[in-house]
Amino acid sequence: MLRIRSLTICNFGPYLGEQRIDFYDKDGVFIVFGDNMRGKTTLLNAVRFALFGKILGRGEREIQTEKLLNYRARQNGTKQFSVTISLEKSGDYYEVERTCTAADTPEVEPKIATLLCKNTEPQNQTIAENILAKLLPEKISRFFLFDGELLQQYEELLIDESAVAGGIRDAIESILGVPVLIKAREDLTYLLSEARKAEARAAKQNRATEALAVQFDLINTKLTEAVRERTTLEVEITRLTQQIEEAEDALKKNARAEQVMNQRDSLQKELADLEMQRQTISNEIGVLLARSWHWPLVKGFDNKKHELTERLVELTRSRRENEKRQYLHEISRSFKESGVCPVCGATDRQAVLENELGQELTTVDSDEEDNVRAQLLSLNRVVLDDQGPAAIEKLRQLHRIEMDIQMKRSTVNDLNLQLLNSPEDVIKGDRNRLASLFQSKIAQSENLKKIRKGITDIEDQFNAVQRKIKETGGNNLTDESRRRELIEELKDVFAEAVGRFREDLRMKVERSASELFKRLTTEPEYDHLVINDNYGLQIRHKDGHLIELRSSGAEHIVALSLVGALQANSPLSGPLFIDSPFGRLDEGHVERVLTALPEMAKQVVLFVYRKEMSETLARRVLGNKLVSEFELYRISGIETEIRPVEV
Amino acid sequence: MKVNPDRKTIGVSVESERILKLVIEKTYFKEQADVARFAVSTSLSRGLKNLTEENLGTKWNVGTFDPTGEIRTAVEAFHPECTEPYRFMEGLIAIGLRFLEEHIKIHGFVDFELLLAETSQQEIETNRPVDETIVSN
Repeated sequence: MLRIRSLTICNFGPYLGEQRIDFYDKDGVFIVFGDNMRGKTTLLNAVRFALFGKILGRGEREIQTEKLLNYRARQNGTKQFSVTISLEKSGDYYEVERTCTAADTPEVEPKIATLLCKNTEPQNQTIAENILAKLLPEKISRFFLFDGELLQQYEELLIDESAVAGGIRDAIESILGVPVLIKAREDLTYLLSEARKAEARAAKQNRATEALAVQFDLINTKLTEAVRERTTLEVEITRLTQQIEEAEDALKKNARAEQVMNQRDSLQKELADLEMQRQTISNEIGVLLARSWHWPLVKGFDNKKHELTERLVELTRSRRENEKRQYLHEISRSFKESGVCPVCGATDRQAVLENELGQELTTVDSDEEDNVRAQLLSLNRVVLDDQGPAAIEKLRQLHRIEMDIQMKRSTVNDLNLQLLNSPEDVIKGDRNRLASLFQSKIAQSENLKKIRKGITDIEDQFNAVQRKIKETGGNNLTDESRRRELIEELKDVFAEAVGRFREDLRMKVERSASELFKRLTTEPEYDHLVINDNYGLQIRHKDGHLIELRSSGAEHIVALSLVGALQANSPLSGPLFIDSPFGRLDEGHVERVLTALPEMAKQVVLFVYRKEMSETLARRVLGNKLVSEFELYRISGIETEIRPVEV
Repeated sequence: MKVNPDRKTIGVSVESERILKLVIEKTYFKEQADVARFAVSTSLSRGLKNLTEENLGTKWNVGTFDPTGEIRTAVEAFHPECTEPYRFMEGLIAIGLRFLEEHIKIHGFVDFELLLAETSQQEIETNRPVDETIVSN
């Protein structure tokens, strides 16, 4: 087990000069109290810098190392800061000192030097890095150095496709030791290839199998090539997964700005649609307006036609009346002249006829009738369309669209203002990069599938040739064939072992996490945790259903349970450095987590502010497991001193 | 009706030209000729007195402006006394455009709904398309 003995920092962040925390090789909990902006996270970063040469900001973003040089030290002309961490593992003592020397100009990278002494013996750079990688591999650092933000990421494990989940899952398998088995399986693949070559060499020396051996060689070369290609692709896919994770992280950092951008982009799409609709409708209106001169005349034309028809009827009637009277006048005139009615031959009804005639003949204007008829005919030839109401409806529609466009434009402008100080290009770049990385990963995964299928086919060919060699070969092949068969069997065993080991581990992690969770949670109805393939944990209620929506506090407790379970099942163990872990928890949960902490790791270093956990509570709950307390004392707004708290 | 030799082209004044452009700007009319035709029918339906203008610049051939002769028929229907319908039409365009400009000044745009509603209302009230409103020049 890895233990921390001391941490010494010099001109690092707000810590001017040399300051030190001693852990004295003791087991238990160490608490560093500090208000906001005093340098708790910087202390976590000091440990990270010493072990991995990195400094992380919010969202796991790497920070330029030289920025951590203490301001006052820089003012005094100092260009260097350092962190020294003393560790102990299996009776060996290690001291790692990392120094950063800033360059004269900001464009030039700072110089970072690492000195590692094992049992006071300085080690060369390569050995030093190897030792460090074994003491605490960076890949699993998240389970030893973490804060609330990092705990929050475990929620991603419930999302299968998440790249972050993929990264965490790999890290979990690393801490649990799965890669050891995978590596062994890969080694056996290499050994098998070598055994096959040896078998082929032996076969070549036998006249009966010589030709088969040549074929065997060819297939083996093909197989070696295909396996190499598969490895390259697997490495490439791992690299792509990491890059996807980084790109997702980068996007997360600008999540709010991206949300605004997405909203704006979606509004801009809607605007483009509305503009198209506006264009279409305005064209339709334009077509309708080309005949708009009809609309005001529709009623007028009807009235005119009505008037003219009535006039025509009147004129026709007058003309016919006149014609009738003219006819009667003709009869009367003839009656008068002959004394006999020319129609019925009567001779005594002259007076009756005179009476019938009554009025005098009038003059009828036949030109007017012709004119009216002609006008009516002309008007009837004009067919007025009455598309006015349709056009008005379209105009209303257009008006609504224009209002909508105006409102959306105004919102887009507001959103653009919000984005004024955001790295929009960077976000777009990250987004495009993410999309392209996803595409590449899909393409490479497809290639990998093909190659795997190809390897299976080649292996079938291989097995067929091998069988023939065995059948026709003599005793001198037996040893090589048996060696090869043994390695094949071993390879199968390891292939099976990886799957089983993973499954066993998942079950162990589920069990340990559930036990810890039951101790940490204050909710008695929560029964246990259920693990998925990604090591994501869900809470199962006593009545059997899974809790779908979890509070951020519950999320925190589940994440701590997972970290605790990983510690319990890992072949590696070491000190935990936890930054502000109680911010989201109520007092009941804080007390429970505090109680469980000493069992999660032999050494736990807490960086907390008093509001999330008071020293009274810590002392009461931890009792003699609380080894020592420190206070981050404010000297000024940019300077902090680490002071031990006397209890 | 006997028609005297009429104009072969239709002209507008500089002032009318300006209003044509204004209406195009404020509406979805695509062509100035469409605006001018609308001005004619607006004048006819409202009984606006035609406005005689001087110095008209030739704008359209009558064959282009009124290819089917329907507008001439409309003018003749509403003004049977008129012997030169296309010359008369120039006056109707001029007064109709001024009416539309006034309308735009009041409403900010051409409110077809209002214009058509007003025309219908007048006809319901008077049963004849007469609007003696004199639009100031």
